[in-house]
Amino acid sequence: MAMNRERPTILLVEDHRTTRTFLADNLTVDGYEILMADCARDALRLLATKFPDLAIVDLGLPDRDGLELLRDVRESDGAAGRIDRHIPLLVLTGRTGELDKLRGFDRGADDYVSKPFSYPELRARIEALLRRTERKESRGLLRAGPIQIDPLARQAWLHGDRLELSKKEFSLLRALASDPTRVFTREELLRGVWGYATIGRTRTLDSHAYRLRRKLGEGGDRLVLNVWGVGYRLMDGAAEEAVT
Amino acid sequence: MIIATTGWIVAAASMALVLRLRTLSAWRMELVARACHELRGPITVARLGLELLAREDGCRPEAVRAIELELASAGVALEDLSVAHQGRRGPWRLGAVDVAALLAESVEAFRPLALARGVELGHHCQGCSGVVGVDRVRLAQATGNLIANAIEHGDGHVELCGRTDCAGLEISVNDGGPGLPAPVGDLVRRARSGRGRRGRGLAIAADVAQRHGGRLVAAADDGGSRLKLELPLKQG
Repeated sequence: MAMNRERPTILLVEDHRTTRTFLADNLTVDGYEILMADCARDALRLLATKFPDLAIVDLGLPDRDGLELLRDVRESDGAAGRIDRHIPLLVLTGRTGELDKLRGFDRGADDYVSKPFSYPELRARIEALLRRTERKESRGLLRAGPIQIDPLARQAWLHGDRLELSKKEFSLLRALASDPTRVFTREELLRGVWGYATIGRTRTLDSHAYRLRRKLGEGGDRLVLNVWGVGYRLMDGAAEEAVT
Repeated sequence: MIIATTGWIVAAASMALVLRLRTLSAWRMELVARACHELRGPITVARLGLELLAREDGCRPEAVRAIELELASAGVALEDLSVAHQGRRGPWRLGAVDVAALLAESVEAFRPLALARGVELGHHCQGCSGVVGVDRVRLAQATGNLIANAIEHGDGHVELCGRTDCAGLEISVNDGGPGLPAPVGDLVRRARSGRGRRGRGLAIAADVAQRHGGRLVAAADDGGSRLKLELPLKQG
């Protein structure tokens, strides 16, 4: 999911309403798109459906400890939850002890800011984290859940394991991964990947999708999803958002 | 037999006393931890709210900066408080400081108090350049304590002066009051040893100066008192 550098999206997970509102207002004025959650459950839902560029996480959440939320994100396999396990996570908390900080970093925090904090400093840290992410993206790497794709090297990995894909399988995966929860119509894929000018009755797309799904292993049935009568999408994002 | 029984009774009583003291100490630490927890939220909210106010038209930026500096000082005091039970102080953040701006913000922060007390508060700088290797907020804390002292015990006019030269930074606070009741060293020592309610602000200012390799001194003046922070800092 490529970052919108013009207006990056930040998920703000904070249960204290005034802090959340004031922080969101400041960040909005500074040009960020803000998603807000007041508990870990909502945070996970937004991470899985809205794909923010960065998350600011308070540790004292009402339903679960924020450290567990960090662990869930970092251990997400992407196929089930569609959460980008590599999303920059900034912890913003009143727990200020050295041990607390070590625990935070151990569970996957990229940065740790103690309350009370200076807003300009927080903003500078957010920018630094986003810059780092942007550098990775500028290399052209695509990431969708457990799948990582390097279009230049024409290589793909699942959970870090390299996938052996044919030329068309790779192109199909790359096309779907460019917008993982969007449904690509059969026509779009046949034109874009196979270069077909006219779309007749062909099983080419289905057979390639079938083979690609098999190569994606056990979790493959939750990837490369067939939307009957329409086409394919890589992951089921919108559906879950609608029911939660 | 009697001696042995008495020994056991004394040992048991001592053990009970130790346990009681430990429980009491743990409870005190818990109370401090709770107070710190409860202070973090309001200071965070106040700083964020101030940041929003600063973006609005018609807002006096110098007043906003002064309040922000005061809230930052409160944050530093909170950090000190939260690690006090370990016999430590909170972290020091050394960096570059614009001395003229810092003094202006300190004066602005105390202007309402000075007005309420009918004290005229002024400041001036002599060749004030930036200095490096300073904890800005803690220096503001030290300066603020001297200003508050002067407003409370001085008379009529309080003047804050800053000066930087090759020897470092000098910040002095002059007031037209009756002067210090005792040598500054004695007042600081008394406060450090926990004796008396007076002099705590002076002790904080002296500690900040010492931590920067400098000192707090009382300089001779025609009338009133003149306290001076002398810090051997590099100009930056």
